[in-house]
Amino acid sequence: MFGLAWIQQLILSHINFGPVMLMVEVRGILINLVFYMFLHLMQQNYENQQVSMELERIKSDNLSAQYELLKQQVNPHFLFNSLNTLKAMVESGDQEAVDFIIKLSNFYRFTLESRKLDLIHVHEEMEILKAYLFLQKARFDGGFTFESSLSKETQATLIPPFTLQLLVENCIKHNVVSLEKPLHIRIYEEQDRIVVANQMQPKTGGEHSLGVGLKNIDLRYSHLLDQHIEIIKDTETFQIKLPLIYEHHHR
Amino acid sequence: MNIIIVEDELKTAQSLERIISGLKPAAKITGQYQSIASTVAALSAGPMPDLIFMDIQLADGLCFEVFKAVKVTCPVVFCTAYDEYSLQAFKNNGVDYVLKPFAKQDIQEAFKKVDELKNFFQQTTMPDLGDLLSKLVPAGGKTTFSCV
Repeated sequence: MFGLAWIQQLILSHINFGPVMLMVEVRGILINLVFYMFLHLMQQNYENQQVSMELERIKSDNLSAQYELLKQQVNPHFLFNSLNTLKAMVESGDQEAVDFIIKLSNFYRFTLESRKLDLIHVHEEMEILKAYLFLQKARFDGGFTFESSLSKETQATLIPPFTLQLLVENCIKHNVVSLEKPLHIRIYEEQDRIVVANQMQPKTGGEHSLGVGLKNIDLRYSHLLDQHIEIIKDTETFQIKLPLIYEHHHR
Repeated sequence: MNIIIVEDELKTAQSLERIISGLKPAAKITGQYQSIASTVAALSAGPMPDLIFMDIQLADGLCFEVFKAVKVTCPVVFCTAYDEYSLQAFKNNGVDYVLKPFAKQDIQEAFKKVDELKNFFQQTTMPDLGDLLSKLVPAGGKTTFSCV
């Protein structure tokens, strides 16, 4: 604007407009300013709207993710199957029914409490796993065996809650579990890794949903410490190797 | 009435057996199987039972594999903890779908349904057969007439 005024002054320097020119220039600037502000306001408004829409979308995404997580943790399949086993135990006057109720409530208490945590100690995770295995043993009556050999040092390391439980649940869900063909699940350690292994005896015609649970675990590990879990699968065994998480890395 | 129970949890199978014998003392449980393989073997070897109680998730897979391997001609009552397979159950001889944990009443209702359906089919098929027979006789008479 000022540049233009200056050029005009330069070219038409022989004509003297006097203060009229100044007034015209000032008016031009004012009009421009008003237009500019108006346009700016419009654009701001538009951007604001975009941002708030994005925010809403993220919020609803987050809510549905939380809902999925919650559903996965409440695990309705497991709950109803357990209640069914419990009913059968009560009917037949099984002495273990009381123990079963306590283990079931412990398991759900763990579920609710550890939801807030990113990491727990491996020995705490083993407690969860033991409660879970007790419930499944009552259901399958020796259809599977379980052994774990983790040292004290390994038990003191950290793990995202419900990792081992989920892996063992996967084993039971996708393999034949019966008295004639018991499933052997083992948890042991090997070069800074916790290994969950079982022999392959996949169910026939089973849905191949294997992957969602594993992917979640892998995602948690890569978020927490930038490492991936190893999945080793051949015709005879299925192994998952989890990197150890040491406490001093994080605190 | 011959009934077989297909269920991979021993406790549930026993509980179901107790309920059945309480509700239908005349019914005979002719077999209890835990897996797809043993069910297929039993069904293809022996006579077809009158009713099957079947869990959906068996020790070695989903029970619908049984229907692929053997032709099942009797009604089936599916018992499971979850409702996600109702459509498949409906397509495979399912007359009822009982959710676990089930009460005695649920099994009673399943039996009622089976009995009612059986009555219905007996009532409707019998007159039809009679109709057909009566139509056959005059037809035979006519041909002999025209021949002569």
